[in-house]
Amino acid sequence: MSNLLLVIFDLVLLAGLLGVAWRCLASTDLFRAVVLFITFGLLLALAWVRLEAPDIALAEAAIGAGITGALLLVTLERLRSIAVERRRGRPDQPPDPAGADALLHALHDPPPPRRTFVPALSFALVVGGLMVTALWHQPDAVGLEPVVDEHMGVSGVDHPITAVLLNFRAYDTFLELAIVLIALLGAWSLGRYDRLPARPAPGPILPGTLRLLVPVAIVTGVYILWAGSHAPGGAFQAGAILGAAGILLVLARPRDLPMAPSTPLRLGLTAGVGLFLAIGIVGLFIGPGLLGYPPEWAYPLIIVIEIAATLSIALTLVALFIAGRPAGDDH
Amino acid sequence: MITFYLMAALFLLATILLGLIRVLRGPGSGDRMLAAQLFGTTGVTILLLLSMTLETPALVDVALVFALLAVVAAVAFVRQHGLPEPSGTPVHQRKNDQKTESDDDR
Repeated sequence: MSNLLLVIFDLVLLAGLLGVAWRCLASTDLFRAVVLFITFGLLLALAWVRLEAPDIALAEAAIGAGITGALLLVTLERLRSIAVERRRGRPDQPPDPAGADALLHALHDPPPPRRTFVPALSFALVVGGLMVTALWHQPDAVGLEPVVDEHMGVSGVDHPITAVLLNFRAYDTFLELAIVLIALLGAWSLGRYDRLPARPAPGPILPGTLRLLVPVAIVTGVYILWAGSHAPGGAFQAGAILGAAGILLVLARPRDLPMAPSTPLRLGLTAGVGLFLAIGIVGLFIGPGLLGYPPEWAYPLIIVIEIAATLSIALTLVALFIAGRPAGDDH
Repeated sequence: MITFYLMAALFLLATILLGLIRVLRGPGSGDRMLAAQLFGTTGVTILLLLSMTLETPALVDVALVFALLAVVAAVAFVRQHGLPEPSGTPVHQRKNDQKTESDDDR
């Protein structure tokens, strides 16, 4: 009975995911597409739970449902204010065909006739067919689970996923951290700090909510970081939660926040990659190899790396959200 | 008891799919956003029910993060309240949005 119910649950969830994704992509109203995207993130987190991947569900809950939604909403707000400003500045001139105004027009106009329907459908069918054929001939492999279980003793932690991420495959995680840093460098190289206008919400609700939520978010972030050594959690999830707390402060500030001083900010942003690399190089001389730790030191080293990575990820997310390097920094 | 939890989770999932009508139809942006916020609350409940049925205590953490971070999108939305509408919005939508705003002010 309960197995049947689980199957029905999965099928309903799958139908919901496909339906929401389709409506999100087909929507001509940008705001509706953003709300559908937030809903998609929520359903996707449930799907990860059903796939028995609570670690990814945590990350999806933090990034997909929380931060990305806010990022898209703020982007929409910026697009609108740019369009309104252009219009106000030059009322007689026709709108710039490549400008934000034209973009908004194009996005709100009815979609063009579907000339691409047949090629898109045939492409999807071919790719889908190839994937099904590839999976069809997949032998029933046990995967790497037994190998990881066998070596858990030397990993220094109790949670297999943290052991893989920060010990057995530390190289991958190191490169992921580097990619996050490079993404920020890319955003910073695009332009200077462009202030989101401080927009105080009238009434006591927003400041009161923040006063309650930000401390809870910080405690939760630290808890998720600590939980990572023996249960789902870890640096990426904790960093996302702390970053979300920072984004809340940026979004709801009643007046402009003082900008973080440049040198400590940069040190914090690079702490994760820098410390990871330093410990990895030390491992080259006294441990088993590059990015390997001596087994008796594994636990404290992993904790140090995770703390630094959490700090860097949280700062990077907030900096990416503001999107622009600190002002007064160009000399 | 497990069967009861699962049926409750299934029912809540069905309410999310029903609530999608509000997101798709609108008419105001407030209606759509509020529907998404309620999905967040429903999602927390589904996660807690699944954590009981699948006997995975870690899902309680996922539910906690969900409940905490659903606010971020809401705060980003509240900021936009009172922003001028984009010039490209079709007229019927603009009218509906204004109606919603006056509803909120009451």
